[in-house]
Amino acid sequence: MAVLTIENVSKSFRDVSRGETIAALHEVSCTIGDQEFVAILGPSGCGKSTLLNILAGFDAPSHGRVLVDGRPIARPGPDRGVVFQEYALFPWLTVQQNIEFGLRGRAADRSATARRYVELVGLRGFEHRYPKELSGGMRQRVSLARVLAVDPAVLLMDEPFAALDALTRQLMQRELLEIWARTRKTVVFVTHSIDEALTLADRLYIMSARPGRILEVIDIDLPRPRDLAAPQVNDLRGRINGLIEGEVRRAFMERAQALDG
Amino acid sequence: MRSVARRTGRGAVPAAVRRLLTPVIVVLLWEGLVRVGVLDRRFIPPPSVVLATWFVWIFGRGTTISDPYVGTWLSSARDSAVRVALGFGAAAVVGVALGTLVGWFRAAEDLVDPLIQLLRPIPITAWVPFAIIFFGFYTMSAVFLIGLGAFFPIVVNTTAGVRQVPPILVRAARMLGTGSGEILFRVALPAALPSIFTGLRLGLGVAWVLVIVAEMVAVKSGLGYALWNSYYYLRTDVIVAAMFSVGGLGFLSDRILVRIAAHALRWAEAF
Repeated sequence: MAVLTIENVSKSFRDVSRGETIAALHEVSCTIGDQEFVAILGPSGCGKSTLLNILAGFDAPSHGRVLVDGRPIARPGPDRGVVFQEYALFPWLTVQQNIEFGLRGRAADRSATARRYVELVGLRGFEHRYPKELSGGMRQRVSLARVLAVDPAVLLMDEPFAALDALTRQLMQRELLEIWARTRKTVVFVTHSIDEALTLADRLYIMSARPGRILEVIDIDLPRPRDLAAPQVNDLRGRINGLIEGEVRRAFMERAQALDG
Repeated sequence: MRSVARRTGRGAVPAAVRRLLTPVIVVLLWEGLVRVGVLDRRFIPPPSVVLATWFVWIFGRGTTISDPYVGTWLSSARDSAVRVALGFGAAAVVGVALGTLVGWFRAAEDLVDPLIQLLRPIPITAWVPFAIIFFGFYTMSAVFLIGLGAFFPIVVNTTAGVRQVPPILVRAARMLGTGSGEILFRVALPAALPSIFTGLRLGLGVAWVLVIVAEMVAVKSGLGYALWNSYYYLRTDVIVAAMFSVGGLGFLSDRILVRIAAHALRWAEAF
């Protein structure tokens, strides 16, 4: 059981080198229900990763607050597992040891649990490899297994498949959906790929260019696995494209003006 | 491409032969130049004499009490090696511990780093008189100098390594429920290991330099002492044999450290 409540969250950073304050998020509010798969979609630099970092507890909001099941988030914790785009595996640990990292209890139990998750992400036979010996897709599987092993209520995924090639990405998306169907976590998935969001999510939050606001919320009531060529999907894609394209153009113009000024 | 060209160019000559060629030529040239008298053998002993002296120094039986270079090599080498081991060992323990704290904790950095940066530019050789006054002409003087000399590269590299721990790994550990103290040992220290080994290698090199300096002036035994003492007797053959002895031991200890590092860092992308 995990409900995420985001209330009027704003975040600004101090850019020390330029001596100005940058607003990354502006009054973002939303509620993400238990076991929902939500995608946050927006142009790059729109603050979607900032929002995820606040949910993870890595950053604190400048204004507003974030609650998990009614309790404010103060720090990172194993109730909210994060899957990073850069995998963030511990390079000095093997696959098995990476997955065991967050586990407590007796060594034998830890080892058995880790082995279960090695199986779940299809890495049997690679337990004793180091991350440097694995492909990008395999590394991201380890990262996913490491987080799932501590059994978080919420899965926060920060463009996890962005660095993978197209085929691997599709495969990973399919496997993530299978795992989600089995484990039923609440998932917050940040992406800049419209198709990825359409493939995965129950609901999309479309964010504006910086400072990030929620422009629109789109529910996707289609059964999975989804056919991305289906007419309903095409309609949605067209609508989202229009929204995001405008934002990308606006962000570009603003940046160009800032450089001129 | 390059390796292919090299292989086709010198296919017939094995690598070991190619690599030994230059040293062998230098030694033969050296021997020849001394024999024909181009080099004065009072100042430069021929390699054959050096080898003979070395052999006697290592394996000779002490028949002539007056000659200190018969059968004494092993105890001299042992004295030097023990001093290096003690000094380097102490420097490794203190350097890694302190470097980790300075690299990780702001307070430790503020308290300790200025002192380290203040003392570091002082050449270790400048500490010799102080070491002798404080510790006397004993092993402790040598161990102090070696320890101090090896300490600085170890502490500086450890600090740099701990500072450069990727923040995302710290985030990953925190999100998995790891406490701050635990993160120091489970994330910062292993992540800094490549830098730590760089520091240890540099420190070990410095240690062998300093054991010779210390034994020349502050202690009356070891290879450095033999080296300096033989200069008084104008035993150039012993001088050269002692030089190569120190070089050999330094090389050997570095190889051992590299082996250990290669095992400890087998996970690293490039080492």
